[in-house]
Amino acid sequence: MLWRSPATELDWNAVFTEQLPRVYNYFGYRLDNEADIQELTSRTFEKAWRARHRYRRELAGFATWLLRIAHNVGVDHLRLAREYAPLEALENTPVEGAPEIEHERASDVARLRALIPTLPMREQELLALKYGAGANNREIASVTGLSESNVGTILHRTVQLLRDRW
Amino acid sequence: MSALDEKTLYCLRRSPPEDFKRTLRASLLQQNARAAAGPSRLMRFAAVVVACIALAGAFSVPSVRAAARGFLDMFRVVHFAALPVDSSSLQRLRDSGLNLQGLLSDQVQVLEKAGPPASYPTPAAAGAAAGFHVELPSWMPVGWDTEAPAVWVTGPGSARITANAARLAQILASLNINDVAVPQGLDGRTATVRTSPAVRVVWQHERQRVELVESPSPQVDFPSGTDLPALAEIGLRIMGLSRNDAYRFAQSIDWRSTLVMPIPANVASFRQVTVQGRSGLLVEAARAGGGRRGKAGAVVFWSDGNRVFALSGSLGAEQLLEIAQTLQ
Repeated sequence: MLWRSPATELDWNAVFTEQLPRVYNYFGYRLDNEADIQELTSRTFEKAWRARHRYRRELAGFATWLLRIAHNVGVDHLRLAREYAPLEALENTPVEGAPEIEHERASDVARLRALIPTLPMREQELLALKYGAGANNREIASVTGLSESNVGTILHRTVQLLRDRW
Repeated sequence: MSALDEKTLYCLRRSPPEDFKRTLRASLLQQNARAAAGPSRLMRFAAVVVACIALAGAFSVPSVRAAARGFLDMFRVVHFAALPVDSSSLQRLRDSGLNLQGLLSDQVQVLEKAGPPASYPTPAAAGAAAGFHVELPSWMPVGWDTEAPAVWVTGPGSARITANAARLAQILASLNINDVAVPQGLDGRTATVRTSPAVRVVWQHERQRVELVESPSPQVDFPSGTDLPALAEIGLRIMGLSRNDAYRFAQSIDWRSTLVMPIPANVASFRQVTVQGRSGLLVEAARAGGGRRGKAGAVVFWSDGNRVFALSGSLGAEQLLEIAQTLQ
């Protein structure tokens, strides 16, 4: 059996500082419960920390590797916790969000929060990676297993759908 | 409400709360220390059992303290045996308010501290540090990365345990056990427990984990002529077995070569297995709620006569056994 040495040790302070907001906002895009967002973010970093010996720089950028872990954490959680919400759920949607957001922004946030659950899980996932974590299409393809062109197509269609429902 | 443009799509982003960032950072640092030092739950359970057996052995030492190894008898793990335990008995022990650890702690003198586990980059490096070739599986389920597990080495340790008849009598009285006698001439007799370096190898795949611990057998030295079955019977009564069951079990075991593992019936099941031609013990932890997904992990223990192995994980028992069979 051939054993390889693990990849060069990363600067985990820098990693934590740079990547925490991306992972946090990835979950923030899918969930509206702060405790759940923090829980899944924590779980992702704990898994990454425990598996850091297995990270291979030559196989994937660290951000992509970390998002893949977040993706798996999120898929498991959301499969159990959330059902496909009907369009009727849009009515009388309570406003959520930080009080310092101006009224129009608060309205946008609430509207978007209400619309996202009406989408299929795959589309929600791509939106969260793109607009929550700030991932590009190549990273999204690597995380989800879709082709890069497919990611672009799905995202374009999904944003159009959101506009139609806005 | 504004139009849904690109900027609006990003409107859900916000900064993580500062206290959350601080807490998570601190937690990750602690995780690293705990992950390096802490074995899985089943392995901690096994470690407690080893400690119990070692302590029990100390109370069986006869009056003459041996000065040379030639006069010493020795316990080394060759076989494993399961002891089904009624969890209500254990609960009664806890409810009795008896602080067993506190009663016994000043009878244990640490001679050599094992120290915290040290991380190594490869199993070969860990083996060089531990002083033995680390056996590894040549097969793992499809999809598992076998090439870069996490590896730790724990150093050797030893402790001397001195018997105290009065303390043992106090324990028995507290539990209303009055049908066994504390052996005569027990006070001051000692047993020495020695553990060798141990290597721990952990593989992870998505949400699953497999952990292998291997080490030369721990060894307990005690003066020859020790009546181990009599002492074991006392230990079994403390654990809640009836007088008849404790006597029968104590007489049926070769206490010089068998590590007995108490297994609460409501949390695990067990069976004897064969690993690479040697008898072993498979323990499966029960998941809360049981049902189709009633098992929550398993551990298999075996010895090749010199080294003891424990392979645990969240895989099914049959897959763990397959992995165990391929160690080389």
